[in-house]
Amino acid sequence: MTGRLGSRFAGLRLSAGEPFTVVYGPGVDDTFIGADHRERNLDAVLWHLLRAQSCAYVAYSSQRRPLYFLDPESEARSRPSGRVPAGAPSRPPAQPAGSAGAGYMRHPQLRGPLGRVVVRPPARGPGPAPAGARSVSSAADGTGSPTEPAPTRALSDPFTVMTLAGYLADPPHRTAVVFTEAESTLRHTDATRPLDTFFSDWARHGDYDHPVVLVFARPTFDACVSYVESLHGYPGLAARLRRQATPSVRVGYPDEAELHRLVQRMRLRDGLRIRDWRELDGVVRAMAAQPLTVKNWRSNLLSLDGTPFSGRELTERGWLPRAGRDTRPAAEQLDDLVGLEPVKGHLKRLRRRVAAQALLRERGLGTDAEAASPHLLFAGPPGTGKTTVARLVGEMYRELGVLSRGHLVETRLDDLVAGYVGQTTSRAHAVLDQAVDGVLFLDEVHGLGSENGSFERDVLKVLLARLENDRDRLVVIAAGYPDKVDEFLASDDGLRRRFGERIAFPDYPPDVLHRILLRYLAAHGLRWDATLAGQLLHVVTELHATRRPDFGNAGTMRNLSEKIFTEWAVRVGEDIGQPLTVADLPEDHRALLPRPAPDDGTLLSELDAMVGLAPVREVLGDLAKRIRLRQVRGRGLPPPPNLLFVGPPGTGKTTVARAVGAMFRKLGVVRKGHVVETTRADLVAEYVGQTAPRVREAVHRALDGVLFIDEAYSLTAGSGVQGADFGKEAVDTLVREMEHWNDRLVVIAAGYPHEMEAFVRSNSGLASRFTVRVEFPPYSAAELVEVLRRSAAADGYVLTPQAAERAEQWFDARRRTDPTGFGSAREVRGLLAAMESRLAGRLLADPPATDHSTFTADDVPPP
Amino acid sequence: MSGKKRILVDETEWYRAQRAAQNLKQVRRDVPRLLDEVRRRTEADQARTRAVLEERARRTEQALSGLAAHTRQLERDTGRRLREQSERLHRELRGTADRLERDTRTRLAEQRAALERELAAERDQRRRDIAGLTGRVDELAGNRDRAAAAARDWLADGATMAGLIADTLPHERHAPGRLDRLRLDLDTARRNMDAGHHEAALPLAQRAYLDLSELRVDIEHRELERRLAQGAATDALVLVETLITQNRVRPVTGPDGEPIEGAELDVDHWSEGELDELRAEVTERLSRAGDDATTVAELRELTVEAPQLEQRLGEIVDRAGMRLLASQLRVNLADSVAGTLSRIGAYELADGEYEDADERRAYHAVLEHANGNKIVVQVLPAPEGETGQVLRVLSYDHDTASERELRDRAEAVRHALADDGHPTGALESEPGVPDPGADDLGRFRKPEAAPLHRRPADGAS
Repeated sequence: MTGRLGSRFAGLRLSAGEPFTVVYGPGVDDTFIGADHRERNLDAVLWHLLRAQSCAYVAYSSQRRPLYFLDPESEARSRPSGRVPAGAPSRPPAQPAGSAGAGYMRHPQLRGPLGRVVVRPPARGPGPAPAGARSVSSAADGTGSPTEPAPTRALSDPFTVMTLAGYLADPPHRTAVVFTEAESTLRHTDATRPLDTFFSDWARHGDYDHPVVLVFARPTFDACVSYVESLHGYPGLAARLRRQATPSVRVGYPDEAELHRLVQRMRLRDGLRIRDWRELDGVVRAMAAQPLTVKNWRSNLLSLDGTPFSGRELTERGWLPRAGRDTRPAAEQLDDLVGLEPVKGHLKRLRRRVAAQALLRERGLGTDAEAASPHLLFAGPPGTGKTTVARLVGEMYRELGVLSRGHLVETRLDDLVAGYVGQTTSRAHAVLDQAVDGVLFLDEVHGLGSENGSFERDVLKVLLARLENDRDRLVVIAAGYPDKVDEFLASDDGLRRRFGERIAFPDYPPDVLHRILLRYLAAHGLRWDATLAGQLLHVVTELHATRRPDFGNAGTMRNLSEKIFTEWAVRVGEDIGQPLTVADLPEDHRALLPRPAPDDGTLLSELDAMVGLAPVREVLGDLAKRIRLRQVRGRGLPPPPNLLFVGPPGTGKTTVARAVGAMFRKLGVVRKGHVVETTRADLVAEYVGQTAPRVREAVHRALDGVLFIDEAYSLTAGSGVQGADFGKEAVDTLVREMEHWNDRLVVIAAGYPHEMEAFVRSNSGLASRFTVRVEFPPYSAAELVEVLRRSAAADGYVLTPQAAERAEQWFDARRRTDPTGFGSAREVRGLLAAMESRLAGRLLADPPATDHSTFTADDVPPP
Repeated sequence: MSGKKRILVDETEWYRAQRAAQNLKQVRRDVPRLLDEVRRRTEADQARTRAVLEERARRTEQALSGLAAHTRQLERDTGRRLREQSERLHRELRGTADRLERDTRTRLAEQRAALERELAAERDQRRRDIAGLTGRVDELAGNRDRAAAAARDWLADGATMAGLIADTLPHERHAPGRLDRLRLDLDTARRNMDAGHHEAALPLAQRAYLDLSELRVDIEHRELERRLAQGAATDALVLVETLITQNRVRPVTGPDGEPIEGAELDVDHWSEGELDELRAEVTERLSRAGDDATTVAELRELTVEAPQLEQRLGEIVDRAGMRLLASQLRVNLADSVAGTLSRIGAYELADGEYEDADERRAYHAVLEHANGNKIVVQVLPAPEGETGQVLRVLSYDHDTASERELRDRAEAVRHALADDGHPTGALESEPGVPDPGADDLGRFRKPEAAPLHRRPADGAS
């Protein structure tokens, strides 16, 4: 029955069980071309829908026409004589004004001494109300073609409310009241209070079996409710709508089929000419993706005024977007996309599957099978074309008949979260409303955080409810970083069941990034030669190789192009004829250019200046040689090793770690070789759930360099504090990250020998990952004297041989008193400070002495 | 059950305009017909008067034949002139075509002046005639026999004249005692004669006869004057009576100035009996005018007062007509208010009736709404001397008890009435709740069908 009204109303039910049904959306002002090719306005459509739901009587009310009807039965019920109980003598209905002729009274049953004569014609006739007046009218129209009934009577607002309330009171059959322009009725009525009372009473005491329909010309349900709230006159209605579970009926834009009917109607009635029948389907498809109503399109197409209908013409006139001019099927457009091969593969499979399902269904097969979910997950970094692909998925679904419009509505998960309690739900509904019959692209999804958790849970509840309720009319594509997508799915069991395929969007390869960068530069109006293009390729390749998980892909290329443009502009000034040169590369990017390979001898030169460390140098030298060998043999580079630095504090571990970073970079094992120094305090948080992100953050910072964890054993040592073992979480996370980034990360864990043993044993993964152990032996007394000499020299002091000898004795004495704690270069700093004090004291006591920079034996304190 | 509103609908302007347009006070509609009618009705009177006069003329002629030759001539001449005068004056009284248009007092003055002129002329003529007779008496001086014969003649003529006056003329009405006194004079002359004093008897007898003759003329004149006054009074009153009859039922003019077919104004009904009262008074006055005992002064009074009666008639007709229109206006207003309520409130007219089924009373209309609410519209006649209609709106709202909502609805009604051209004053709230039975109009209807024009005995509204 309602199918012929067109897809916008197919299967629609005007909700029962709720006091009010809100009809809203961009299409409420539209006209509707049904499958029977008849054109109807919303009044007529609602009439059919309500009739189909066995409403015997339908009354309409608007500000302009306070009470009107589309069928005589409904009209008759509004009159007292229309509800006279059977058997009672029925009175003739009041004749319309003017039918008895001028000069006679309107009510034939009234008689005076002069019969029905009017002895005093009023100054202004009480005859037919002026055109456009509010009216009670009856347009009996069983077929529901939109007619404009002639106004006869103009109800006053208080009586309108009274009449409508009476209409719903104890009706003999199912009865509906439709407020066709709810906004203006609510805003401009003179009977705000009675109307509010009516709504409140209805919500409280009404029989919800009788629909009360409010039509708002608002895009979203939330806007309707907000509007009602903004009027302040209808607290009962506003509160009820806020609470209302079902957000009622959204009337959207016409779909492809309806626009086809429009074009055919206009071809037959208005002489619309089609330039090329072959492209018609594609053009109408593009039309359907536009947020335009049938009325909009009719007006547009009428203004063609003889010019034939074609995609080019519609685009020229700005009715179709430039991009939308691509009227080719989605698959062809997808093939044209650069890169994204795995994505294309996925979508081809998806298309085959959906198409096969449709074919089977046409033959009545496979109808019992649960349809695979149309919802998709796009996992990948930003800037990899997910939005573009989502748009094409929408078009593909439309071509396959899964969606009627297939348009794309983009939003971020966080954008659905509102700042106030209760608004989140309505905001989410509002966005989902827009996406009905199309694709909701939900970007930057993530798991539930602790901060906005409850609001985000509201969003998920709405999302899940709508995925169920609008099962056949809504497709959601959730997108984000792979791990965030995982967290998102993990936040509710329902999500995992709803979403079907997961499509991974890898980072663009360097060549694609290079093309993108050049396109941006060209868009800036810049020129360059082949050499520079090659250099840029190298830079991009390096950027790609050293990218972090949040690498922006196309976005990064755009930022780089803007930086290059700025550098170029600063350099050339007004001489804009100059092409780009290497000099225009930003400083940090220029470092990515290829450099000459380092000489072997310089690999560990930084360690040369250091005292002792012979075993360290030996181990690292061996490691360098092994790597060299592999490089020379043309084998792939091994993953950079992770190192354990074992030794007492103050034995130069941090310094050596920096040297290792530089060495690995020179060897090409890592790209950058920088060192990120961390301790337990940096990695372990105080609250649940914060530790892992801290570890990950540190790892990401250290990518292509060295993550140096000093006193690494303390990560596990602090366990058991208040029962929370966040140190373990840190270690577990660290192990995972080491595995994930094993080719781009060097982790150096440093600490006392004994504690480090315990640390490595604490997690089986650690032992296998720290492949190189570097022992930092304690300094000998002689080495410490050398350190002391160098430290003193650094400050401009000189040690006499006696002083050196005395210092060695001092160190020996220290070692004897504290064998385990001793051996640190830090002892040197303490001694040097003491020597400085004594030198100062000596010089003060002996003013003639002039040598202020020579330590003598006397300056060394006794052990 | 709630709401009882009173709205004063001012109709002063309408009344003024209608009054001018209807011209109800103008009771003389068709003057030629009116004159014919009056003439037809006074013709009998005139015939009777003529017969009386002819009878008297016959008897006078008979009596005069007994007179001596010379006096007989004198009296015949006098009688002829009297008849001529009477006929002329009566003719003037009735014959003037425009007499109805002219002022009664003016006409009376003219009538009196004409009469005076006739009388003066008559006196002159008689003085000349009598001078001829008395001259011949002088010739008889010294001749006793001839004087005795002449004295006998005068005595005989005097007795004849005295008999004529006594028999045919209303001397006691117009000249009481004078005839007796002149008869004494005749007796005195006769005793002188019998005593042989012929010379003394002759002038006395002659004098007595001439006085009697004078008396006769005098009475004739006075009688003529009375008859003329009586005729005028009768005419005037008959005119009023005719007007009353003619205006008993009047056509009703519609707003377009054309008479409304089938509609008539029963003046006595709509004036609540005032017309019959007026008719009774006119009848009483007519009977007084027809009474010969009524004096000329009284007759003149009746004549002069007749136009006032006519004016009263005009006022009665006017009042009745306006009441009828006002009654129609009430039902019109009810119709209009019902239309307004139907238009703005989706009410529908259920019933309408005059109070006590009497069109001169208030009009009540009952309207029903589909939700069971009712409104009773009562259009009350204006209080005496005022030109407004009082519109009372009694609302029976079962769906709400909110005074504010009820007031809003009443305001909406008032606004709509004003928009529909009914000048309304401020909305008045009447204390109390409406009578629960006010929506039952069946109480106004008697078991038998109420005729359109009933005349209840009770007084004015």
